[in-house]
Amino acid sequence: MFLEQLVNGVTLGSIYAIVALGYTLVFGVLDIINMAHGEIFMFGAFVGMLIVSKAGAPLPVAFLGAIVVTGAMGLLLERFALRPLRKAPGVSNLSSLISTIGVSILLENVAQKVFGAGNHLFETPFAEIRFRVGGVTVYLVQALILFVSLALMTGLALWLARTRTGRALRATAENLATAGLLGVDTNLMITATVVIASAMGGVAGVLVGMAFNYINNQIGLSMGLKGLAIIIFGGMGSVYGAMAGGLILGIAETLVVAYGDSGYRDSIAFLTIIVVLLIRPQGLFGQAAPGMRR
Amino acid sequence: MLEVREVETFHGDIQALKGVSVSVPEKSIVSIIGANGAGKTTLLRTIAGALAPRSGTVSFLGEPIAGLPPHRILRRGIALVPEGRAILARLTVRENLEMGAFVRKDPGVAADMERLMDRFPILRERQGQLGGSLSGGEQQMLAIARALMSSPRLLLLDEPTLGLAPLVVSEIFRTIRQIHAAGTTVLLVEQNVKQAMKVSSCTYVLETGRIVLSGPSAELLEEPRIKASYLGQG
Repeated sequence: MFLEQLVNGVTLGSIYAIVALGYTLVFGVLDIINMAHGEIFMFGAFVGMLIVSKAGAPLPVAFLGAIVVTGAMGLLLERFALRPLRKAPGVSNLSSLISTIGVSILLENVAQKVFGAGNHLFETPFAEIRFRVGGVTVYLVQALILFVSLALMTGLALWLARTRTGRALRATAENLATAGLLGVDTNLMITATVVIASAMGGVAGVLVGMAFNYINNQIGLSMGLKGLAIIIFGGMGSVYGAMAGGLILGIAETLVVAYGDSGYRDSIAFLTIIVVLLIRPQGLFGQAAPGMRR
Repeated sequence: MLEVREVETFHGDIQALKGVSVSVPEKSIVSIIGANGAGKTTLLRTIAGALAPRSGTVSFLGEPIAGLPPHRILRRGIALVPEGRAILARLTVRENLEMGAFVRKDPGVAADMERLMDRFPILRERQGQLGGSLSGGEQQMLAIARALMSSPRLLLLDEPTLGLAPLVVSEIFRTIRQIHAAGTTVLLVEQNVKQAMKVSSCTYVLETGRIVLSGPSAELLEEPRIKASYLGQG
């Protein structure tokens, strides 16, 4: 029983981690919270739902479709909601934050208009297939979610650590001006980051559809808040903090529902944050000295 | 090689450069001296493309470069070692050097890295450490080595000896001589006036955004105004 709950928790947590990574990547290069990320994630879920449930196409097509649509949304977000504010003189970081809040409200309303307010069934053909591993029952869907999210996290970590572009992205995240002087096209880097982060949100949307079987136009808000909570918990801008924070929150939530009161499920995220921040204000993996950033 | 003509650069409404002209011949060391706030850093940042001039021209190897973004100017062969060194503290020493070669796609990068680590043995020793863990002098060596990784034709140095111990300062000036001897042109901004003038063939004096004096360094060293204002003599 406990091990099964643990598997549930890790599955949920790996999705949280993917969502949080989207926030943390954008925060790294732009120093702002992309408040539209949750809604972009929701669109990923809806695109996946249309492809799998309505069109009856296989899952890989759903992932591909969600990546393309949410990636394009990221491109538009950067081009029309973030870049004009970045170029303007005397505009504070706060304006970009407000701008992303505007985009998030717009996207939520568009989703309500197009898809309606109710629940939509996200059908996966193998939803009932399960197998036993050493006495623990694991659903195929769970294994698939774990596989996709772990592959995504490993890929991202390796890309950041080992490749030329990944290195340039870390340089841009640490200091935009210095990266520019070293020959990095920082505008291109920022655009690429927002697109990658959004596409990861899209993948997470499909994963949530697979995990819960139902989606609606409110999932962006709740997932967005949790993603936000995770990066504060893990340390703003920290990739490993987002991964660890996501997993910890997923496991904590699942165990509270299993052994405690399911009514407290969503409060766990925020309770954890309060406790962690009291003990470690910079977050689990955060940089202690803010002066190092810029 | 580099021709700066009547350049005016603004920080918002404040005019930092009021028609500055500087000429850097190929294979020379040229120094720019002046007090804090004279516009020295602004001038280097304008040449490197980090700031765009409002008027005037900058040409490099006969082609206009004013207003180009920094990465395009770096590709043409101008590298800036910025004031305060700007080491990437969360990247390792080796990664900092690799970032220096970001614009290069030729196969010579690995060999250049080896050569620079031979010249700066401390960087080879510390290659796996984070940039932020180095001392000030080591960070300055890293900043210079990183700029050299782009194999620039013109190296812009912004106050490379600021805040360093006297022994380290002489080491930096020795390094500047070596870089010059290896065929790289150097434009040096310094508050260490005497040593900067001794190492350079030509000196410009910048005061509140204007060039007030310029000429061969050897002659300017004897100039009464320089002696009084910058060398603390008579």
